[in-house]
Amino acid sequence: MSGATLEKFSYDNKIVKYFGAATIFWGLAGMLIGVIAATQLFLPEANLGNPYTTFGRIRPLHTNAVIFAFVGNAIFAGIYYSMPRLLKAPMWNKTLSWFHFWGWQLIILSAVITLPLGLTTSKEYAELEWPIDIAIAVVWVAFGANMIGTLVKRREKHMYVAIWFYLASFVTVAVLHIFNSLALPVSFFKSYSAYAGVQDALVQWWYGHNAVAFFLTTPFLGLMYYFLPKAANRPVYSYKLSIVHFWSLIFIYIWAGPHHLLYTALPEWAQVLGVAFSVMLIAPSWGGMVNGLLTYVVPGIRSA
Amino acid sequence: MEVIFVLIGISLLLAAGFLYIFFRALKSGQFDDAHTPAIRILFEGKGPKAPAASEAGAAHPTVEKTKSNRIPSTKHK
Repeated sequence: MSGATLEKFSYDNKIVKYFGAATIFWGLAGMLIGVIAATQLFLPEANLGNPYTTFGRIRPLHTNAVIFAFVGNAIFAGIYYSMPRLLKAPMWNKTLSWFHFWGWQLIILSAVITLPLGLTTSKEYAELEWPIDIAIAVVWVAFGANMIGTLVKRREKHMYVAIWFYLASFVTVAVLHIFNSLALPVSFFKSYSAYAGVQDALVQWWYGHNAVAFFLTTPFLGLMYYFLPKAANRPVYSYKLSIVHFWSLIFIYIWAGPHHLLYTALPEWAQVLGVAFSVMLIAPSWGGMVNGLLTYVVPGIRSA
Repeated sequence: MEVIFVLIGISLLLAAGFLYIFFRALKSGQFDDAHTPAIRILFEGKGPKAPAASEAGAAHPTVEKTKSNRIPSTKHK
């Protein structure tokens, strides 16, 4: 070791703490709004007698807050913590990290303002109007660039399976968000979807289904593959299975959207195709579930 | 239903991109070792080559800037 230059680097834990705090804050806010929306189902007076807090406006606020604010910030906290440690390199660009953090919080804030005002595209889980959609795309790409930069600068040759999940989530969500949000603006707060009728429905559920897949599922499978073995202090049940189910999930998941449009105006063959892919999804989705469960509950058993 | 061609086109492009990345990773040996990576993440910050990982060292690791000091790669050639 003598004579060799020592290279020092540190992990940025501050950004992780900020994302963590935002997760808790938006989690509480989003769930509280959910309770108010649910209360209105049996006690309509809970809408407080004004248009801003009626069910139709706060229900999307609840889903957006829980999915994109609560779950989103949790994903970012987990990724900003685990990615530098797995790749043995700090996040590529600190400015980009903070741009990502504050940009994302501002987007959530704009949702908190616009949705109760009734400004909506009426697309489920994609209600935010076009200026906010553009902001989401920019901040999301900044997040992806930060991850890819870190990947390029990594000191560890092997990409642990969690990294694959993070990257696939970024790429796919970017594609889904951009194509589903294509719209023609008529004013700053009003736009019309680029698609019409059942075609719009198909694009919407191609997005909606895969938003669940690549925003709510794959990032957390990645986080599971990092944090579960760490917490249990033993390796994942089968690393081989994690790789196999990752790749099969990636190739099959995106085709299952039409199962949200069964018995609708969507051509039957498209419905059947969507259902067939959904059934095929059992294998890769159970692969991840089984892998997590067996890591946790069967410490004595090791896979071949 | 013209939009279905758009969707299938985008989805196929995406899948083709992933397939390309998969084969590239496969060729570069990313999946050669399906055992030790799972174990190695458990030793982060206290690996045999990391210099004297104290409590503080784990948070602020100091890594020697030589090739031999790299974390053991999965590619054994």
